[in-house]
Amino acid sequence: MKRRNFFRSIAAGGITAALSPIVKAAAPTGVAKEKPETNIKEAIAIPRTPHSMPGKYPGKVVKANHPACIVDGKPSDIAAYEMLKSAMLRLTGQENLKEAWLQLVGPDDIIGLKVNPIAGKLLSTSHAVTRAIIRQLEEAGIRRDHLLIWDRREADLKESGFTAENYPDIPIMGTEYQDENGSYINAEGKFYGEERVDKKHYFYVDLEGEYDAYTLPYMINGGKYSYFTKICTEKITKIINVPVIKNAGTTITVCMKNLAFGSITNTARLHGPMWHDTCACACAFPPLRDKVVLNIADGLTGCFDGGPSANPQFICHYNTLVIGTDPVAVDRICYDIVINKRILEGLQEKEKDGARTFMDMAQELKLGVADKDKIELTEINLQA
Amino acid sequence: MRHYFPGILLLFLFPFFLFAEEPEVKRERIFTGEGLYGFMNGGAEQFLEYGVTRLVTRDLTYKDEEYTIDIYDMPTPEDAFGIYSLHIFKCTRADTDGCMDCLSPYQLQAVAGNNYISVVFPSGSEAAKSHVDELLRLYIPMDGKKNPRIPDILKLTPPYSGQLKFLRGPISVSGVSTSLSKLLENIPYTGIWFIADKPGKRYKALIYLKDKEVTGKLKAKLSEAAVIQAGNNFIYMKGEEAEKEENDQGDFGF
Repeated sequence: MKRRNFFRSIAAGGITAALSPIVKAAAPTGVAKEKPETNIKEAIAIPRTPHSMPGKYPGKVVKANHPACIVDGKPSDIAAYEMLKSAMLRLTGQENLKEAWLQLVGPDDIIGLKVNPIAGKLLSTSHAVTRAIIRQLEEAGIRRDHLLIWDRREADLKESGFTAENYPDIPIMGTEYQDENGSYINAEGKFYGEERVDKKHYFYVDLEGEYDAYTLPYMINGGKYSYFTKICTEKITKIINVPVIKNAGTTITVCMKNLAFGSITNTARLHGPMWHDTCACACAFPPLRDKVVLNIADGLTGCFDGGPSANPQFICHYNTLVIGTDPVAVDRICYDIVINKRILEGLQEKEKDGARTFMDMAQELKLGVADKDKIELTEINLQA
Repeated sequence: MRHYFPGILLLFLFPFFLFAEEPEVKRERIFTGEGLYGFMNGGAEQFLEYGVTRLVTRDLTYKDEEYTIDIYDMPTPEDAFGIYSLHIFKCTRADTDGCMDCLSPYQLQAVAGNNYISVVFPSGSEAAKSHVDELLRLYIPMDGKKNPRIPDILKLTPPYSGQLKFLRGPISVSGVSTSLSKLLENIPYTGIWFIADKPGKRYKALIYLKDKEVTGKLKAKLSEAAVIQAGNNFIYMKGEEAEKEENDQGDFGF
C-alpha cells in the first residue's frame, strides 16, 4: 500500500526525489542471524586486477578542511578546487597536480563520476566539487567527452542540476530514464532502463523482490537478481565516486552505499537485514571492484540526521573533503565525522553496536581498510 | 482639480500594484490522506498519526530565489503544533511576533491555526532568508490568532518552540521517549504535552487520558513522587529516561 501510493504520486508528478523520505540502515544484532544465500563467492573467485579496490593507496585517507568553503549558503568553487588540489597532491605524493591525477586516470579512459543526487538540490553532490573534479581532469589532459556523470536515475540527476545546460559536452546518464512524455515504458511495453542493464553481471540474493506496477519502474526488475548497470560494465573504464557525507540512522551512507545501491537494480529488497551485506558485497563484483580509482566524499554540505534524504534542520557544513582510493577507509573516517556530530547534537550518546558492520565486511572481502588504527589519515587545514 | 487628485494618483500607482512581485509557481502537487506516502515514503506515518488531511507543496521562485513551500492541513492547532514540534531542531530564531515559528539555515517552519508550514530555501543564502517571512505571509496570515492553547498547568513562557512537544500516538511518543512509550503501553490516551530536560535525562508529561478508569490505571503504575497533579482524565507527571536503544530499522528506500 505504501509503495503503491508512493510511486503513483511520483508518476503523476514526474519526479523521483522527495525532500524527506526516511531511509535507515538495519544493523545486525549481536547474535548472528541466518542470512539469505548470495553469489558473493563467484565475485571473489574472479581474479583481481592491479586497479582493484582498495586501489593505489590502500588505507590512505586525506581530509582537507576549509573554514570558508561555504559562501552565502553555497559551496564555493574556488575553495572546492583548492581543497581537492591539496588533497590530491597529498594523497599521491606528487608535486604537480596533473601528475597526481595521471596516477589514477589516463587520456584514453572513459571516466564516470558517480554522483549522489537523490536528496535534491539541498543535499546532493555539490556542483562546486563536481566542477573542481572536471576542471582538474581537463587540466590533466582528459577530454570532456571522455567524462560521464551518472547515477541510477536520470530524473534525480536532472532535479539536482546535473543537466546538459550546466555541464555542456559531458554526457549525463542514469540507468533508469524516461522519455520526453515522462514514461518509463517504451513502445514494446518494456522499461527503457532494461536496455541499460547488464544481465551477465549480477548480485544474487535469495530474497524475493516483489513490486507493484508503480514501483517496478524504479527497480527495473523484481525477483532475486540485482543486475549491474551497463554504465559500469560497458560504458566506462574508470569510476570516480563522489558521494555526500550523510548519516543513515546511526550509520552512514557515503562511499560504499553510493557505489553499491547506485549500480544495481532491484534494491528495495536489499534494505533491511541485507543493507550492510549489499554495501560490502556489491562492491566486490568486478564492475565496481576493478573500476573505482578514487573516492571524493563531499562534506562541504552534509547531514547528521534524517539522511540520506534532505531534512533541512539536520543539514550541516562539515567544511571538509575526504578522499582516498580506498572506499572502506574513506567511509571509516567519514563515519567518525558523522557520529561525532550526532553525539555533539545530542542525537546519540555513543556509537551503536554494529553500525560499522558493512566496513568490516568489506575489509574481509579485501576491498579496503576498516581498522582505524591501520588507516593513515592526513588532515590539511586550509586558510580562508 | 484637487478633487480629482487622489483618483489620478491611484490611477498612476495602479500599474505598480498590478506588477508587484508575486511568487512564480513552477510546480504544485497535492497529496491527500495516505497519498502522502507518495511524497515522503514512511515519513508519512508520523503525519498520519496526527490526522493530516492534505498537503499542498509548491516549488516556486520569489524575488529571484528558489523555495519549496509545503502547507499541511491538520485537524486542530494542537496537531499542527505537534507535527511541527517533532520537526524543528535548534532554531536560530523562534516564536517571533506572537507566531509559532522556527528559522534554521535552510528552512522556516511555522504553525498557523490548523496548518503546519515548511518553507525550504535550498540556496541557504542571506537573500533567500531575508524574503522567507514575507513569502510565508503571502500564503498564510501569521497573525497568531489561532495558535494552539498551551495548558496553564505547564507554567511555560514563550518561546515554546524547542521546549515543548505535543504527541498524539505511539509513533511520536516512541520517537521522543522510550521510557514514556513503555509506561503508556496498553494505556489509551488522547494527547500528551511533553517537556524534555535532556541534560538531566528527565521529562515532564501532561497526559490526557480516555476516562477516569484509565487515569486510575496509569496512576497505579506511577510512584507518588512522579505525579505532579492529576484529575479525572489527565495526569501531569515527571519521569526519567532509561538507557535509550537506538533504532536502526528503517523504512523502504532505494
